Amino acid sequence: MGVTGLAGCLSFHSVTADGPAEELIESGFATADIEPPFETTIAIAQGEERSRLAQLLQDELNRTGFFDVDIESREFGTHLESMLAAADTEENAIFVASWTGGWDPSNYVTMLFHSENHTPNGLNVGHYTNETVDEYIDAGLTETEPDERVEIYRALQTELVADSPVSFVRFREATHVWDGDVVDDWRTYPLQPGSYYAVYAPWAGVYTDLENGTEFVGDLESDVTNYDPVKTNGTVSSQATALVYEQLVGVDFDGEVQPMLATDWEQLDATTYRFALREGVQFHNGEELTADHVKGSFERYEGTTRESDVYDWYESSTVIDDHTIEIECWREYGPFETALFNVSIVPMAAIDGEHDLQTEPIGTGPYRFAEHEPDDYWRLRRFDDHWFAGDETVPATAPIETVTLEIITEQSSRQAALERGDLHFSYNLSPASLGDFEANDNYEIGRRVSGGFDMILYPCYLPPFSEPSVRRGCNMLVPRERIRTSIYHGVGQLAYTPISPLLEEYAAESFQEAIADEYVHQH
Amino acid sequence: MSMSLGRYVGRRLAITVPVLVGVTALTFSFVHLLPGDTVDALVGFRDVSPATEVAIRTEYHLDQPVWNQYLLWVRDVATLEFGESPVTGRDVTTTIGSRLPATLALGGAAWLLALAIGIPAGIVTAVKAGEPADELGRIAALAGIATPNFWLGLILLFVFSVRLGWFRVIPPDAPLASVATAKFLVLPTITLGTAATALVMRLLRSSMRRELDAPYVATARAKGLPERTVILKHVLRNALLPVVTVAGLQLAFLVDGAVVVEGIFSWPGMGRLLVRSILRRDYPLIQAIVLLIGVTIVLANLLVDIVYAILDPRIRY
Repeated sequence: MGVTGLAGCLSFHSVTADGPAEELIESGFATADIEPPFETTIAIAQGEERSRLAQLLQDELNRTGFFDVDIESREFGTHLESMLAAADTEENAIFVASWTGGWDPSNYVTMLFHSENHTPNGLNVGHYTNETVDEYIDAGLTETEPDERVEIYRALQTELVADSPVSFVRFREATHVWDGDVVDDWRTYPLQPGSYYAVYAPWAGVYTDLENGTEFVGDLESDVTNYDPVKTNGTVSSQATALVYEQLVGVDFDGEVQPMLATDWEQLDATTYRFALREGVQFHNGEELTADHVKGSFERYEGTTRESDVYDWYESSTVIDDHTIEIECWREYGPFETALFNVSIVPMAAIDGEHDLQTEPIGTGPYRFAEHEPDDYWRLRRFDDHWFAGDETVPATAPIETVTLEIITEQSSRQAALERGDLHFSYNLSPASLGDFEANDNYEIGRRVSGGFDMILYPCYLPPFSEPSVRRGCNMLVPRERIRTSIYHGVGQLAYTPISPLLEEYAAESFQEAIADEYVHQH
Repeated sequence: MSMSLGRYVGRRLAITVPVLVGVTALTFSFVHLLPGDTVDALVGFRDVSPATEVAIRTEYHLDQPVWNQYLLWVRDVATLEFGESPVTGRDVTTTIGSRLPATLALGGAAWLLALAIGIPAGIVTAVKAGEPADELGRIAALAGIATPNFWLGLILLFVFSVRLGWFRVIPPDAPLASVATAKFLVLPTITLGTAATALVMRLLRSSMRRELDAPYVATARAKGLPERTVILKHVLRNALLPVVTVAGLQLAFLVDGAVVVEGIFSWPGMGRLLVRSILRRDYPLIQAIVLLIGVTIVLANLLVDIVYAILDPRIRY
């Protein structure tokens, strides 16, 4: 007993703070009355990149002398479950995880930091609680004035970095690679569900032509499991059906909201919006779009796993006439327009339950479902009765007749298939193979910062991580640049804040730099 | 013999039932020991009202105790009703049925490759023991067994598909029974069959070496039988028993697919289906696949025993 005590004492005195990060950690350890080194674990889901990230972090933390860190690599589902249970079991672990947001700033913070979203109800893994943060998040959701929202989310991000419940490490990039001899003018949509909008998205003013032939062959990195928008679970299913279903509005390649099935809309009062619907829109089964389709499509979400997509704000809708509908929200809702982009309009046959969209997805999009061989391929054919009549930028008829998406799960096989010409296009290839294509003139690459980010989650429920100064010290130590260059071959952008630079106003470079300077860089 | 063999087969088939119950009950418990269930996988991190979550759990009996869920499953399976996947909403029997042909084609081709090359190579290396042919065979077999599947597959893909362009990287858009698909299957077959080929070859070689030293071989040679007859009729027949065991068991593994090879060559087989169903906690699908594998292994064992009896008339049951 005496010997252990002495040893602990000795090691305590051998740790000295030799920088601002260590000083912060030292003061936090003192407040929490913890003697270094503190033993903990970095928990990751299996994967080479994640495990190298964990090693770099482990080195940095161990080097301070305040920590003695182990790494534990877990099967993906187990990792997820252990994160959900971590706070309840007071697990002594730092988690490495990723999150993907969308076109609204609230996507990046609500689930991760609001105290109502403590696991297992949300993904606030560390059971982080900060009333100021909660207030900002709530205010951001109900504020509808864009300038006000920018102010709120900037203040929120500053508060989050100052408190560092999570370290933001890297914003991910959407990386598209295509065979330049086959595909003309491909546009890279930054969010993965929209990867294939470039094929033909007249509402966004974008389409692609092929040098020869009318079949476009791309790929999907896993199988399509669900065709029905109210059951869709996972990016790949949304990606595969993006050309099949349409929504009232869309968010285009530059983040602007554009009319799709709605031609025009106005806000009647704080919570009511009136939409004029496009006339002459046909579903793939021959039905013609009316306001009843819109109402029915919204209300189908009730009681499904996707219900929050709609019922987070939707109260009711009133059909004014065949092509006019009023939508009532139960609260003022800042992300209203971008939220509409998540709600696919489906035919009456599906709303009445006569047709199961799981057997065949039916929408109003420019392509209709043709075949799906599970784990093999997904095929769409051009829908010749699509509503778009053509304009000066996009032709009325999509040049590509058939879209085949090969399902290839192995990263190296995706690269090989593109190299051999079995594919015309692939996306999210490993950063290492991106370099191979960059060196080859026959291929073109589209890169844009996306909505995803990698992060390190601290167990805020557990001393010493309950001390903000410890978390801030750790946040300073995260070797972001080395992670980006040595693990991800320079793909991605350094992240200090949660909201992706995709949303320019909310994450302007100058704003991010100021935050990093104040809280992260060691002077 | 036919009488006793018939009774033996009957008895073996009867034992099958408790074996399958044991296997499926164990899988059921293990899968449920994994953290997370189907609904967690379905809901992900979405904000779903507790009432909805309870409704989905009830729909798939996930609110019941594990033993009761198992009994419900057994009750359905007894009427050959495997249910539908809560993840995809598709019928489990149809899902597995659609994978079976592709799985059997790849597994069967690899199995035939193993026998077609392994047996002649085993004979030659046994007969020419100590000569250069034998040494070469030893090195080839060692390399074949030691080479990991994923490495061999990627190298073949890189050399023959990407560099030389001879084969497609992904399956062609053609029916299973077509020249294009058969051609595509060359590389996956080699990848999957190499280790088994090496195993068959070494196994046959060593058992033939043992037989070649047996007194009856000396007798046969002394009788003046041609060497060819001695080897192929006497030695090979006796030496084949261990090969039959291995080949029979390999046959059982045909249906469970080959995760790694299927992944590299994007082959829509049972291996990928099983792995994905485990990741998504798709219980009905996992259970049905495990049952199918269990049945095949039991049947393959039975087949091995019957072939034993035919090859060696001394074996009686």
